[in-house]
Amino acid sequence: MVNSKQAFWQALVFTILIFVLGIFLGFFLENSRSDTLQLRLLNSEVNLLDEQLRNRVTDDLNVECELAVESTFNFADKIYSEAVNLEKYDSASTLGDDLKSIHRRYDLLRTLLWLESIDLRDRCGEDFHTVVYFYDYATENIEVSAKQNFYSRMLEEIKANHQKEMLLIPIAGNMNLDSVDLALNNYNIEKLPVILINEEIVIDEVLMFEELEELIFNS
Amino acid sequence: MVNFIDFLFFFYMFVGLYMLSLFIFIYLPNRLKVFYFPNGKVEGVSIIMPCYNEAPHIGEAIESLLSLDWPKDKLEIIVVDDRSTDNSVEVIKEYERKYDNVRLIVNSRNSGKAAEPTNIGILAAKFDYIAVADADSTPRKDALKKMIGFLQEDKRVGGVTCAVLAARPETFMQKIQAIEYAVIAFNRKLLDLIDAVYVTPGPFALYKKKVLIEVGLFDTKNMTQDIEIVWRMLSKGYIARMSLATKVHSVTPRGFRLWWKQRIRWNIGGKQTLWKYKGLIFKKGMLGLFIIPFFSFSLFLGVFGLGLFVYLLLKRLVVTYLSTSYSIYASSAIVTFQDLTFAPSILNFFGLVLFLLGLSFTILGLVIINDDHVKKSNVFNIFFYLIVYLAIYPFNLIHSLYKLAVGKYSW
Repeated sequence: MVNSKQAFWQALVFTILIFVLGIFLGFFLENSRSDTLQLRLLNSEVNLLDEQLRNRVTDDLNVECELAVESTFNFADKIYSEAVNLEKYDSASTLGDDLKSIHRRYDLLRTLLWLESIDLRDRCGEDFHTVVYFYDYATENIEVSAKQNFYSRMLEEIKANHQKEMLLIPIAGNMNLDSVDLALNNYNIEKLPVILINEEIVIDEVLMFEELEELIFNS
Repeated sequence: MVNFIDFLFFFYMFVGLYMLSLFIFIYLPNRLKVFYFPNGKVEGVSIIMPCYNEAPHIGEAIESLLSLDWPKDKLEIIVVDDRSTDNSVEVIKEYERKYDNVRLIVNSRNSGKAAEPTNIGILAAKFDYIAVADADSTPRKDALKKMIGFLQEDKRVGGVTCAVLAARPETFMQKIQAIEYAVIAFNRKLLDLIDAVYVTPGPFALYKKKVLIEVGLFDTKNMTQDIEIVWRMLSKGYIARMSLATKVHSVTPRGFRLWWKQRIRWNIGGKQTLWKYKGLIFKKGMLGLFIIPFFSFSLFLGVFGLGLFVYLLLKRLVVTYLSTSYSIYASSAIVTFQDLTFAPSILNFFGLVLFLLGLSFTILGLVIINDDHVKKSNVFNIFFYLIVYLAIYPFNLIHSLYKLAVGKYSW
């Protein structure tokens, strides 16, 4: 018969080993996700620089606005899908804080994109609508979570219905980024989540799908 | 960094993995010995069967005891009726007339529990070995042969139990219990290998009469006298053994309500016993070093885990309810593609590993027990047992704690 104490210690050592191995695998998994996102972020940052240069080229060389708008939309769609992945990985992240800093950089990137889109609208007329969605990052508040789920779904649906007419830019409003805080102050936004339509209309209540659509496209 | 809730999940997984590992590390070096039983001498055994309104089963139960592979002159069957209101006494009297070694004793009052009639039977018994059997259980013919040796080979052994398995499972609830009983039987054998058998279940157990008398017989106030008696033996330096080589089949509750009531009783009895022996924690051998801490820890983890589960579930439900209400009001999509995407976290992987280990351990237990009724278990039943049935248990635990606290419980 086995010595009882031996089985207790063996099990403890085995469990610790499995746990340490699991934690290492967890770090590996989360690091590989964060590396993937870092790489995409770098590409997106390069793309944004390219975008800014292109806008200057558009101005200086009179390149058609249609091309510039199309390029901005493609870029916005790209970082939107990257942001979706980021949110997904971020909610599954348990062990590290890497994704939070990537998130902040994405928020900066999206803020830059927003400002670029304002310039573009000024130069090329108002052929598209900008919807900036400021949300609360990692909120524990039940009401805020519920409202954010609702806003995300509704905006995603509107975006799907109006692919080329609406630029959707989600930005976390509580990441301690001065530029984002300044923008929020500028619109007197104190509570999140908030939808900012064409830099004019601030929405922070629950409203009908058609009402929101109307505000975005006919305001 | 790891937040508090994630930390709790990690902690639960660590404990779960540790317990599974412990059982595996006990099993592996002893895998060829789990069916071992010492060959014992044939000596007189008095079988005590408490009975209350068991007319439909009592005849079959006496028959099964009479058919035990044991010399008839070394076997007496004492049925102690606890003032049944059905015709149990008439049925038992028939057997008393027919067989010399069957005796009927009628209790002077209805005690409402099995302990008092069992004690009456023990005091009236003529042999030195006492078997206690339930009126709805049927031990295998070789039960005494494969159990008595444990009592004879070691002076420290005060009681022996065997594999208690479900008899003729018909309903879904009984089929799930058949799996549970088989897994428990396997676990109990593993506990036996570390001297930590903590119960000699009522369906069939064998004791030394002098040990039962020395420790003061069964506790008539406890709801699970079969747990309490073992803890008392352990507290006095005795141990209990488990013979996996033989089985007893016991009738299980057919439906959920009866099952719930039975488990409330088991849980209340367990808590009564835990409370009674709380002072021995970390003191007396395996009782103080393993059994009492294990029971206390399980109780704490069960209650706390249920609280955590309910909190997280309610939070999720409220968020879903509110956001869905908003979406319905706004006539917008209730679910989008993004809601359906999922990135597994390290906790999900740990959970999966733990579940697969638990599943493998359950299947190993079922294969080793190899009971005819358990062989019919299908994959769905095993998954249901692991995912739903075991998850119901903490709710029963809370209910039993409530009943214990307000004093609202009966046999």
